[in-house]
Amino acid sequence: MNCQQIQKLIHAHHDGELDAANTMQVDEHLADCPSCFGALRQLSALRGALQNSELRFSAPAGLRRNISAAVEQAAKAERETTSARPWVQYSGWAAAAVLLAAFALTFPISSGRNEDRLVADLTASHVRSLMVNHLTDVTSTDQHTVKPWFDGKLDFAPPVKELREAGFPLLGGRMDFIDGHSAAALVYGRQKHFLNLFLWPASPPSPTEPRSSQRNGYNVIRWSDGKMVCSVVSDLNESELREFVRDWSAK
Amino acid sequence: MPNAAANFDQTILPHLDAAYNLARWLIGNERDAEDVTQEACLRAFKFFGGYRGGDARSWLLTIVRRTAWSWLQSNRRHEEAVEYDEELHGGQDVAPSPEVTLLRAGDVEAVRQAIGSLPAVFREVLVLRELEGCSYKEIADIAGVPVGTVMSRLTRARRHLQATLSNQPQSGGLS
Repeated sequence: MNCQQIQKLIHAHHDGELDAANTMQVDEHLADCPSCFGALRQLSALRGALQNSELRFSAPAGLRRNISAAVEQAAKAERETTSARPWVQYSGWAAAAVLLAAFALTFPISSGRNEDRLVADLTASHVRSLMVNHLTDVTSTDQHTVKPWFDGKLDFAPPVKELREAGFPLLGGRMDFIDGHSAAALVYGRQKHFLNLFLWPASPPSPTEPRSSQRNGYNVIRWSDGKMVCSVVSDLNESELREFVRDWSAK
Repeated sequence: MPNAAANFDQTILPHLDAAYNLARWLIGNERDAEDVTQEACLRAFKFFGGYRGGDARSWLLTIVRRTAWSWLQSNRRHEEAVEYDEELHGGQDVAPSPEVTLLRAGDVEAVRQAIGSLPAVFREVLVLRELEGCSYKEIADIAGVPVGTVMSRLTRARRHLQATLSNQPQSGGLS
């Protein structure tokens, strides 16, 4: 091997990532070539400088506590969902299957269990967006700024509407992940309250009427206009949230 | 499932320092790095059900890296997409001569600045290798690039540091 080939391999050699055959060849070369050996020593000197423990940042103690607390809270929300359907936990699979079959016959489209999980997921995303100062990825009150921001980030184009006149100013948008698929989250304000509107394509494309539910003090309304499944979550009271749904749908 | 949080605490949180270190080096300031780390951990918890064992640190670092990059993008800190020749030896991009010593290698602040001056795609590879001791394969998984790319980025990053710390004129032109 000549020096140029060695120079290509010397980093991998230095990192212990070369296979035995190449390592042997490089070692042989290094024994006879002061120039390449010098290059290896340079790498060791650099590593020495980088090993300084002051260069590695440690997580602040407060961050560790915050994360543990936030995770605990998320787990609690999850547990409440599970305990709301104890039959899943305590009955055998056969019994569950019978129940599920009965459910499927009665409610062919969406079982209450899926609905529960979805509402829990939506609420958790809403809470998370407020908790970690990550309400918006794109902050703008202009729908012509927010809409193009989603281009290329989602495989669908979410409708972005301004509802300032109705008293729900648009604050921005965010990417989110709900129930196994990507969703656009639009953030609206109402005085000091925040509303997260989650959107993803409806499949099958059939419109559904708004349905309200509550979880952990948050109101959730879900509906579909046939193109998009829409879910709005807020700590706002239910009647104002219904007003939002009406205004959004009318626009 | 009853102890998902405790399980997460035990499996994932031991790697919080690694997570924060990567976020801090990518983001560049304490406060936003904390936010990014916290968000990444909550995402990790959300997907924890899908975690099938394996290297917990790499798994967490992958999520942290993705979260940090989307933060960088949404905060319009577009670092120029660094296009470069995968060939390690091009033009003036040569290894420093053996006589050159790292004059400022003992100066932590100078080293810190030198790392900070690397474009993010090089910085993350260097931090993962030198500060976290990740293997090429782990880095490739975390950064979502081939092992060959990890190698060439690492080589370029080190040459940049060597040039900076020995007060040599920049060669290679990383940024």
